[in-house]
Amino acid sequence: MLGRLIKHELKATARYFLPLFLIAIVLTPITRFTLWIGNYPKILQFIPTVIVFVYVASLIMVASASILLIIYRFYKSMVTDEGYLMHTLPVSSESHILSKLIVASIWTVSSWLVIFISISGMFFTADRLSLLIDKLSYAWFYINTTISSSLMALFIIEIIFIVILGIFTAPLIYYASIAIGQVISKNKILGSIIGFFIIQVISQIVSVVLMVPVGLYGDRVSESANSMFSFFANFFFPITILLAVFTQIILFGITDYIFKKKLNLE
Amino acid sequence: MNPLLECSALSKRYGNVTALSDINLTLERGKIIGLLGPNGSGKTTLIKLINGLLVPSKGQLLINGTAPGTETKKVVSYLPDKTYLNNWMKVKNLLNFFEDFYDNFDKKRAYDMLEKLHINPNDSLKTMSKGTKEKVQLILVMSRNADLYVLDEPIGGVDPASRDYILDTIISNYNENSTVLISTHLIADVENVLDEVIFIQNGRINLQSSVDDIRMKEGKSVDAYFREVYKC
Repeated sequence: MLGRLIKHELKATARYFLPLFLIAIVLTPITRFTLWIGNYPKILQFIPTVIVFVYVASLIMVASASILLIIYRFYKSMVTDEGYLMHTLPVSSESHILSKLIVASIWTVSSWLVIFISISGMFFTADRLSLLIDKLSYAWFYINTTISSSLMALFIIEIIFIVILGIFTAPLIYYASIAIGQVISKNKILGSIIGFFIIQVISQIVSVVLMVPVGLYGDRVSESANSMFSFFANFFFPITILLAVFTQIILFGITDYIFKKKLNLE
Repeated sequence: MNPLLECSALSKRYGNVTALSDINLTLERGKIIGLLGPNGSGKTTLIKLINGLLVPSKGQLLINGTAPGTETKKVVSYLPDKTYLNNWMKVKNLLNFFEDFYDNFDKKRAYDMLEKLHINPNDSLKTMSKGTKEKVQLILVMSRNADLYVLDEPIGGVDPASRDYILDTIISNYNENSTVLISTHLIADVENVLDEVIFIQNGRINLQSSVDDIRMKEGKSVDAYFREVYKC
């Protein structure tokens, strides 16, 4: 059933995302070509300005669309009239949340890719590429000679984990806000905003409290690169990962509990 | 075999407001049952409890011996008094959606009914009138081979001519093991198809009786009797 939910959710969201992605991709060569032409007569100089503006706007749209649409889809399908259909499907509420989360992550990553491809396409030249490779290999060489390789491996793996977990955190915060919103207020949108602030305040308090031990340990870190990396790899990142996992389980649990026990469709 | 639906001491409160109090109710298989009562009497609350959209404050509700959940949702086919379909889909997409999620969905039956009511499967919902959308919802709901059909105000927005077809559909589509629970104000329209009625008022059940018994004992139609009981 999870697979079918994901399939349906992908279909329901693709009609927003794919056209948006297509616009950003198509505008890339057009913008580049417009700029490449160069010397415009005075009267036509507005053309490159407008095209660049539209191109940048499309990238901003792609960057912001995923989170806005993630919020909109969840709100619309789970707590408005469409909720009557979704919540009476023979599917557990865990599957509902999970399917939304997976699809949200797919679109988040795809929009990063689209932006990356578009910007690369905009600025790519052979010279720039070889310059970039030079710089990167120098940085890699420098890191390799100063930092122990096992520490480096741990560091990289942890960063990958943090990025992956980071993709899930934002949607889960919004899901829980929306779920809380329909419990605490008749006005579901207002309630969701209040729910969002409640979650933010609590998570701020928790992170301030957790910063204390981090600060105490941080004081003892010496200036050497190995010591800095070891602070991050052995202490700071593991705490960040644990905190993220813990937060996500709580947010998921709140949303799940509310959908099971406190659903309030008008 | 467990009864199809069994409520014992079922209560639901919203804060300080009691929507249902101490309901004891058993529904048998193979009946068409009217759930009748004035506005705010608790009809929709009971229906939402049956569909797991609400959780009881006290007491319990069992369908085939199980509390509402994934298993019961497989065998309960529910028509809410809302338009729950999203506007961007075409009718045929909705049929595929139902086929995907409900093993007991009979797609052929749905296409037959669409044809009878002159609804084009390639039309998208946003081009349809409210009444047509209601028809599509009812077709989706009645095309499932469910144990219990729960219809909340199924004919409210539909023109009288289609009402007859829809009621016919309801009668002809259910089998002897399934029961249809219809909540409505339009008693006169549905009276002829009902086997049994439940009168509900202020969150309590006043009466559960067969239609024949009412006619025999009271000497009047259910509609007339309802007007007498709930006279303002």
